[in-house]
Amino acid sequence: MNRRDFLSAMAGATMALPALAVASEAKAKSTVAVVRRGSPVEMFRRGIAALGGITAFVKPGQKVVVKPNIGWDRTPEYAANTNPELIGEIVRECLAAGAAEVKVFDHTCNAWRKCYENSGIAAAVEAAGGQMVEAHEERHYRPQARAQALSMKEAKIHAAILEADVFINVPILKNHGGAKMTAGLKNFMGLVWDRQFMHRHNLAQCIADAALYRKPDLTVIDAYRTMQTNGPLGVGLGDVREPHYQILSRDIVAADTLATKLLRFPLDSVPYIALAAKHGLGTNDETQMEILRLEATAEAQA
Amino acid sequence: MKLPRALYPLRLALAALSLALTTLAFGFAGDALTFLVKAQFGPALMSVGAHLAVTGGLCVALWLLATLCFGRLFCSIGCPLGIAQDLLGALFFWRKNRSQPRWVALRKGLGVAVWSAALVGGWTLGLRFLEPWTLFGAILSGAWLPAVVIAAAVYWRRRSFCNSLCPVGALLACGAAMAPAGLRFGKACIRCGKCVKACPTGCLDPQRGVVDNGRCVRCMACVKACPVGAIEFGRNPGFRMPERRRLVRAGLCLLGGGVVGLVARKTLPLYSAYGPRARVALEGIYPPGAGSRQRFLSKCTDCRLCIQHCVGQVIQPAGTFGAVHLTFNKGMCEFNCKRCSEVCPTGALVPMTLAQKQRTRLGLAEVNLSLCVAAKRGFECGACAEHCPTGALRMKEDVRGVRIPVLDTRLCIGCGSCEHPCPVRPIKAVRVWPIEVQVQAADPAEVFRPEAEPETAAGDEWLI
Repeated sequence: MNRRDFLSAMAGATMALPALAVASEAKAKSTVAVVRRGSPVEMFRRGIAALGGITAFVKPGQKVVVKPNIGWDRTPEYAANTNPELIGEIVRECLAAGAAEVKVFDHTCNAWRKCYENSGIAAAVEAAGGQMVEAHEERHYRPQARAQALSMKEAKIHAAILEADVFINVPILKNHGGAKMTAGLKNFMGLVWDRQFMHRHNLAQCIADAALYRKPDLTVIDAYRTMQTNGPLGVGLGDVREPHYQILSRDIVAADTLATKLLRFPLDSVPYIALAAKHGLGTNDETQMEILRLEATAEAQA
Repeated sequence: MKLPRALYPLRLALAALSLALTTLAFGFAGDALTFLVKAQFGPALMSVGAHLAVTGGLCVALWLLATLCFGRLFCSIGCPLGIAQDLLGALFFWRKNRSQPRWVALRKGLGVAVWSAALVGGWTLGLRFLEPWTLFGAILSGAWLPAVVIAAAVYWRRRSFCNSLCPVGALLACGAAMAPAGLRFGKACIRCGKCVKACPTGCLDPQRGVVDNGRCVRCMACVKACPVGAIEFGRNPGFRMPERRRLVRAGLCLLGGGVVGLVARKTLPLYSAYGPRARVALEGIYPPGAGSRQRFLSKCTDCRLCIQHCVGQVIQPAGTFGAVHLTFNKGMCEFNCKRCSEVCPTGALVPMTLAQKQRTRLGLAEVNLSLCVAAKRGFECGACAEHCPTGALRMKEDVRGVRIPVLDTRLCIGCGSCEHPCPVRPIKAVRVWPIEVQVQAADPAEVFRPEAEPETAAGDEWLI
């Protein structure tokens, strides 16, 4: 770079700064797309278009991690794991946008091979051209520390997340025996090696702390099927509801806040949402959100 | 009939294939091969005794028929422990093969007694230390003691185990010794003694022109060694119809074995005197399909095939005097898995449908609220309830308004999904305790009727 180029670049940067500041000021409201009435794939396409398309999130050559909930050895109709078609579609769109690689994993509760297989997610990801990554051994995780955390100040986080340029968080919406609800924030437990530490040291605070380790670039809450009772594993099909919704946002706290309404849980019954908002991870105040209510398909709109 | 030399390489090839397949069956990669283990003579015979297994009975019948026609083929091409002994023998190449002393000679009554103790008396502990497939499994799973014992036996006299202690060998020897046809020395024999040097079992005596077909494992080493091709297959010189005296003796062996087995089974609790580890294993939680403690202890030989294939890594080996049992340190008995009862070759674990397995109670959980972090400190933990696959453990508010784990014993199947994730240390707040008999727990679909709120697709109104 010669001197002239350098100076002009500096000038350009100086000019751009106030513009950025203004933009961030105007962006104080969190945009949340709420899509309904469609297949998981249709709802995602509609929602992501409203947020500026996948290219607003994924740039060519970037490494992407898509983190679904694959915690349980259950098939998709039991609503214990994220919808496999949705994960497949997200992987496909990321690759179409020029992503260098798309990795998918979860630190499962049941035996990992069975979860990956029976959830249908391994097959969907591989068909879409993404890669399933193992997460069942301690060597897959790296120690990290966050001073801002109140309970979990140190944790081992999955290496793929730490190396990723883009992190897309794709939970399914469920009732949860311990944490009341599982959605975007609770999905972070699948990035952490020592989950028992979280259970031992105030679960709600640890869930809020976990999100400090890597803020997601996009959260997509799959509420095509939801688990209303006996979560997170469920006892049978009687626990499953089919609201056919999807919530997409850059703001994970806002997405979780709206998700409580789909399960008809009072917001204050899910304590980690307020704790995460206190960390500055997003807003749990609906007046601070710009909610785009969208029908997934043209027929539904008519 | 003269035996062609080509039989030796043919036997080697079959043996190598058989050893390779049974070894692979022990790894996860060999998932599809586990059914081959059911053709092993010992396990097949036991599965007939355990639940009249059809495939097991068929395999036993085929091996017996083969033995009556051609001798102990099982010992040379079927038994992985026997083939492994041949390999070990090749390792000790500097040591000359020596003839076995007379007292090693197989006591056929021993085999009869051991099998009747196991099958009639229902006491498999004897087989645990003798049955070749079980020993092979133990060695593959890293048990050093049987490996050392077998290696020492091979070092001393090649196939001495097969001709002294092995109960399968003893049983098959009865058939081979009394079969109408067998190996013999032909007229061409020049009494050079080369076959004796090659024979690992010490069954050849060219001086007297006698072959002990009961001991011979049909390894074909003599056929290869003989310079004049004098080893023949024909009328068995040892063949004669059993006399009354021998039949009575066999009957007495059967009876004695059965009595020993029965007495051993009745006095089994005595084994808890061997120390705390054995106690835990005896009063343990057993894999699904074990039925009851009494039944399982009389059927399982600790061959450890189920341990290698356990998806949840919960099945533990017996230890010296215990039984195969479950612990939940490394994982939980996976709800959608019944691999152990599928692979079990001896019938100790009875095969069942997945739906039956999902309601089979292996043990019973117990919540200790004085240790529980949710009850004691008011944290929202719920790790146990979260993992419970039947909804037996659920978080409910107590009088203080604190959400604590509450167990519905009707639904509990003792799978350890609660004990494994419990974060409390060193003693977990939720533990699964053994039960005497595996019964069917309540059906979750009956207990949890869906609430009357059939709200599927919402109306026009936005929920958000």
